[in-house]
Amino acid sequence: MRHYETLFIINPDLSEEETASVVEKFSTILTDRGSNMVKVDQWGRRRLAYEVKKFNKGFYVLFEYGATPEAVAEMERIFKIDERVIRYMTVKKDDLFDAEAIARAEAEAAAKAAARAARAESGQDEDDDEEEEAPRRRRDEDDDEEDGDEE
Amino acid sequence: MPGIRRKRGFGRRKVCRFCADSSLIIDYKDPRTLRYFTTERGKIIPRRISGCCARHQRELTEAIKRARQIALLPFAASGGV
Repeated sequence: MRHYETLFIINPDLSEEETASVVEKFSTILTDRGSNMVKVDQWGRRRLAYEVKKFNKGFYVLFEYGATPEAVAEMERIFKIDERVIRYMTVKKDDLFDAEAIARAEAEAAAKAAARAARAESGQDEDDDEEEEAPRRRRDEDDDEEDGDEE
Repeated sequence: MPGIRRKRGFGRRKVCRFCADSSLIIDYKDPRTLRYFTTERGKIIPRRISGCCARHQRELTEAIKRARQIALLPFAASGGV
């Protein structure tokens, strides 16, 4: 068993039940082949960064699971067939699947995220396509006196 | 003279922000963080400007490319400029 993560995008125009049935369908494909679901995360409708199959929005779903490569191949085969899925991507996170270690890592990550959220409290709102203009260009402008080669 | 101040041989390198802050993780599923390392056109900002260390820049590049595949980040932004 390997540790995988699949993020896929479902047609945003489907009804709620239908979306749920798509999610159900693919998680069943995995579990039928002895996979171990860790997480099913429905991100919901999001704006896509670019048009995919004429859609500007998409319903994102994230699966995290332990499965055999065959199970993943089968799921991807059906992703290609199913027209309700407009894009998918599977990433191998680890060669070994250890549910316990994952649960532990998850808890740790959650704690870290909470800490980060607390620090970044200063009001950034949750919107995906705001080009936050960041002070990225000039990294070397923070005034440091040390290198004294200014005229 | 304020104008000439910029002209200096080597400014002190900014430390890699991922090294400096271990709670900041590079993840392709987090476009908000990744956006910070792309230009408004969607290009990946080079290491000499972002100040990232080699390892983190590599991870970052990978993450940005993954995010592009799954439409979380643009390959090229049409608007904006």
